[in-house]
Amino acid sequence: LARSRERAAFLSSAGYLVAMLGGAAFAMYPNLLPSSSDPALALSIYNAQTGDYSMRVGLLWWGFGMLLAVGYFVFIYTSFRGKVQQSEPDSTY
Amino acid sequence: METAWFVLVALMLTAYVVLDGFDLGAGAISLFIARTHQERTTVFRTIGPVWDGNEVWLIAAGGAVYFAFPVLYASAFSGFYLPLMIVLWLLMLRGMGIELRSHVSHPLWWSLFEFVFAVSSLLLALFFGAAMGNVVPRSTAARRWILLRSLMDGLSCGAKSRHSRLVHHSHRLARCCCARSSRGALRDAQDHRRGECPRPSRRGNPLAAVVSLTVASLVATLYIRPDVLANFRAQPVGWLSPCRGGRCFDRDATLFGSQS
Repeated sequence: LARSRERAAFLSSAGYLVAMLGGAAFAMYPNLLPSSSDPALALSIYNAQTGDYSMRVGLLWWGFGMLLAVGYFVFIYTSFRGKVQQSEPDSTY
Repeated sequence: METAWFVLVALMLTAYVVLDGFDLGAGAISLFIARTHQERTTVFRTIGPVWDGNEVWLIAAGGAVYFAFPVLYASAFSGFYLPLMIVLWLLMLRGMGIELRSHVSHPLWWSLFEFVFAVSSLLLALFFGAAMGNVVPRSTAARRWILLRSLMDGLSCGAKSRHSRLVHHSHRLARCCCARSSRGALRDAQDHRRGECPRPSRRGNPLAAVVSLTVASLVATLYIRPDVLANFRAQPVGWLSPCRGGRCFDRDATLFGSQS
């Protein structure tokens, strides 16, 4: 691993994983849990969904929740960015 | 609307795999790349601030499934009860390993929790791989959508023929190893990014492993579920995803290849 290209290596590994999982999800759609005995018994997004109203309300709250979560992630990853020092005084970890 | 939720759940699970992937990988290889106490402390520090935050995405995905697809949540949780309990215990052991390690300053104590942390991380990656390998090809859904499948089912002689069971297992194994090795690779990258990795990790040829596992799991999947490609045929735009994966993999290949 070329030391200078750590970021690229990390990103391409992550990209590989994302793409493979994305492909798997695409292949599954619209099934959530395929059945081995009878395709009619498989759980798909159509027979497992909740009501339309709760989906819409949920989407709204999901938006708020995700704002919080993403904001927190940006905050924590930027405040701990950079390399770990080996000579730091011993702390919790 | 249900399609939107399908996409969102898939998105959150992917975020979980990528984010928790690197700290699982950190745990799984921590015993091998870091030998001294200080080096191991560095590994713990690398993931220290973020490891439990990364698990938020698993919880969020679970919550979204509970809310948007309650029937799936109900049948999956009762059907996969034993594996889920194992995953839960592994998650707890891992957390204990990280949190309790520094509480007593004694080499025996350190090495105990380093071991707990490493083993549970490795097993978690394996179990997530097994879960993926179980869900994607098939799961035994009986009447009323009550799932009968458990981990033991896979090991006992069921209605399935011996041969297909064998393929199923090898397929599952391939999936696990695939997930595992790419996580290891991810982790290596992360190590280097933080300027850690005190010793060069002695890996043989990670590339060949990932390539062969990808191909093997793909062939096994196609053998078990030939209809898996139907969506790709119907909507050619879906090919973008694996192709992008291939391109990323190419870059991966050149980057990691220069190491060995």
